Amino acid sequence: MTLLEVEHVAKAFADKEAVCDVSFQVGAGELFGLLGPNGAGKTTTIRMILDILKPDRGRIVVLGGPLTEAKKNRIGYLPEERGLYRDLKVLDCMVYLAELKGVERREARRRALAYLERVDLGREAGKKVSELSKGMQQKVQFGTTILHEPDVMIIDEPFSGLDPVNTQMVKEQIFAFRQAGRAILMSTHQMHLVEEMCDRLVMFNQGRIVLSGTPNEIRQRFASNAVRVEGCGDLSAVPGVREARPDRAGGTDLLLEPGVAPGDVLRALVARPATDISRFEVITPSLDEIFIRVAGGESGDGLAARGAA
Amino acid sequence: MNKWRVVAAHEYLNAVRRKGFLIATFGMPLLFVVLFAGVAWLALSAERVDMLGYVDNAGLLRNSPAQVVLTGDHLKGQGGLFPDQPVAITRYSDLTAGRAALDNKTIAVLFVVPSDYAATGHVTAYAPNHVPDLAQTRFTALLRQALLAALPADPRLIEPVVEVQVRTLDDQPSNTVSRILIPLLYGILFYVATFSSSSYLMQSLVDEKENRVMEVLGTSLSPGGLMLGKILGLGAVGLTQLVTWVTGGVLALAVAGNFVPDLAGVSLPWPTIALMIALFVPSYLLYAASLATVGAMVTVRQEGQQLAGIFSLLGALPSWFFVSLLTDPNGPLAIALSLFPYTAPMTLLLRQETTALPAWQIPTALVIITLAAAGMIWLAGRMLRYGMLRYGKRVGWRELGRALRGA
Repeated sequence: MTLLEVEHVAKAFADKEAVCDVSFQVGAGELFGLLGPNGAGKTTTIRMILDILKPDRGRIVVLGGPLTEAKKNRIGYLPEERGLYRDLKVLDCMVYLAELKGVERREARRRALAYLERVDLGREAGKKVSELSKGMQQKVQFGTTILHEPDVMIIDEPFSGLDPVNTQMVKEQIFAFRQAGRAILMSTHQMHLVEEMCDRLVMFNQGRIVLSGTPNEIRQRFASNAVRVEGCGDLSAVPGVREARPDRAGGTDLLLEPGVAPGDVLRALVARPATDISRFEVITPSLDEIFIRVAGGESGDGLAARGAA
Repeated sequence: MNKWRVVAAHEYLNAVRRKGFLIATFGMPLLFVVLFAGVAWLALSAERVDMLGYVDNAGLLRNSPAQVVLTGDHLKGQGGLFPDQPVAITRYSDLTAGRAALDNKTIAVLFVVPSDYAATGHVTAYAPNHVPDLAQTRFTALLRQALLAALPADPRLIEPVVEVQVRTLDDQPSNTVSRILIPLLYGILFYVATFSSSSYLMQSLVDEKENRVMEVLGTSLSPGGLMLGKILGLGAVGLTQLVTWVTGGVLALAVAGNFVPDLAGVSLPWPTIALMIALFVPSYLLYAASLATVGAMVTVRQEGQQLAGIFSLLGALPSWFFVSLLTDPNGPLAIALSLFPYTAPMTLLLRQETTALPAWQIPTALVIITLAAAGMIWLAGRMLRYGMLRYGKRVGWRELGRALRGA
């Protein structure tokens, strides 16, 4: 079931096109990633989804229609950095923001206390928000995003300022959320987290979507035509291999000739009686590398085409 | 529960818990109580005198009896806080005899009328510490009696005009000098209540933009609902302040009346208080919406305060023309200021105390203020929607125009 739909959306500020022809859908139980360098149009897209900005063109469907006041109770939004009343006590701040999402006061209080307990902030409930460290504030902020149990959660850089322990804590909350069949749209720079967490993603560059798919699909699209092999025996002079060079981890990288598929090489290797293969994988770049390459103007399809030629 | 109610309750509680609010709200009546108590204390502790002496070197009082007892005279205001206190005044033949009486405390003060009194009007007084007011008034009264005795006995000779009673053209009595400060006091209190809650409103909007809570709020309720909640919640704060002051005034008068008999008969000017409350709602809405518009336009607190300064100057404008409003309470300036929405509240309050306001002016002004307030609330909602995400940049005038056209 699609909970969030963005169709051919465009938005320009003054004469600069911030977002251009952007489309994607997020379904129930899906964690969808928005990636891209700063200023690529991710936050503008999020603001259009949230009806803070009006798109110039295109259509946005939230929970089956336009975002109405009633639907706002079913949306959770974590803005990039800050978003809390600094002068309020942690508990008061969480309760107020939850009340504005339609949660009854006493229930909001109960949920807020339970959440704070869960993320090791039980003792901070009575402190002012400004007295908390950045990481603690981020956890409180995340709490306000989920306290009203929204169907769609939109989180902008949810892990900023968090150490590994707290990152893990927030990650578990997000997974539990996905488990419950809700939709999550997450924008972040932290590629390894996207790789590890997201079901699907789109990558923005200069206001346009330059890549979309599952992390695996994308990595494969950017794969150079090479495989990494570990094992014993002679790995030289394999048919279809242009060059073999040892890598740092003790294996060997085989660069294939154009038109040769990794499967052909594997079959050839297995057919050699003296060679024992313990590991064989297609070398794919990390999303980090892809991100940098894409931000530099490269497109996955073009590269794949070059590899195939 | 409607979300604007959540906002209103939150803003109300948040504002009334602030130190500034507590100081302004309870400090002010406390200050009045202290002032009243001070007056009462002064009254009680002022020195009473019952025996005076004088030496007459000018021969002015030679026809008076050697000792007279005066309880004020036929002129008003004699005797200050003790108008009925009888004081015996004794004549001594020379300074030595007078000083002796002073030394053995027969008399509290010894006055010496020098021989050149008729030319200079100078009098010397001897007293252990200082000369109480009462002693001086009574002795002055004695001199006045002696001087009057030489003239036709007409008190108007001394004070030809006691009070000018101003009447308007339609023959309404108008009362000026006696209550000059009171209307100003109402004006100031009203201004403080209106303005402090409006500026809370502006501050909270700017803070929310600075903290980016605005984005979260924007995804929770409509800009209109947010504005409504804030305006009502903080309006209740201003009303709380006014009610506290009125109550404080009633209490202070009740307490002070027990100590100072003069204050016992004074009651609060209920018509003015009623006018104040009637004016408060629309004029608070007007100022709140104006400052909210400013709050939605700017991004930094300081900038907001500068722009808010314009409105606070407008609101205080009538106090600059205070004197002309008092002397000509139905003049063109007074009427113009009464019908301009931003200056109307204070002008009407000042005039209410000095003149009988023509019947049409209060309702007309109320309607004008209400219309202006409605317009500003509409504009504030627009600007909030438009300026919500302007973190780094103030909304310029051209963009203001665009927002007005609904872009």
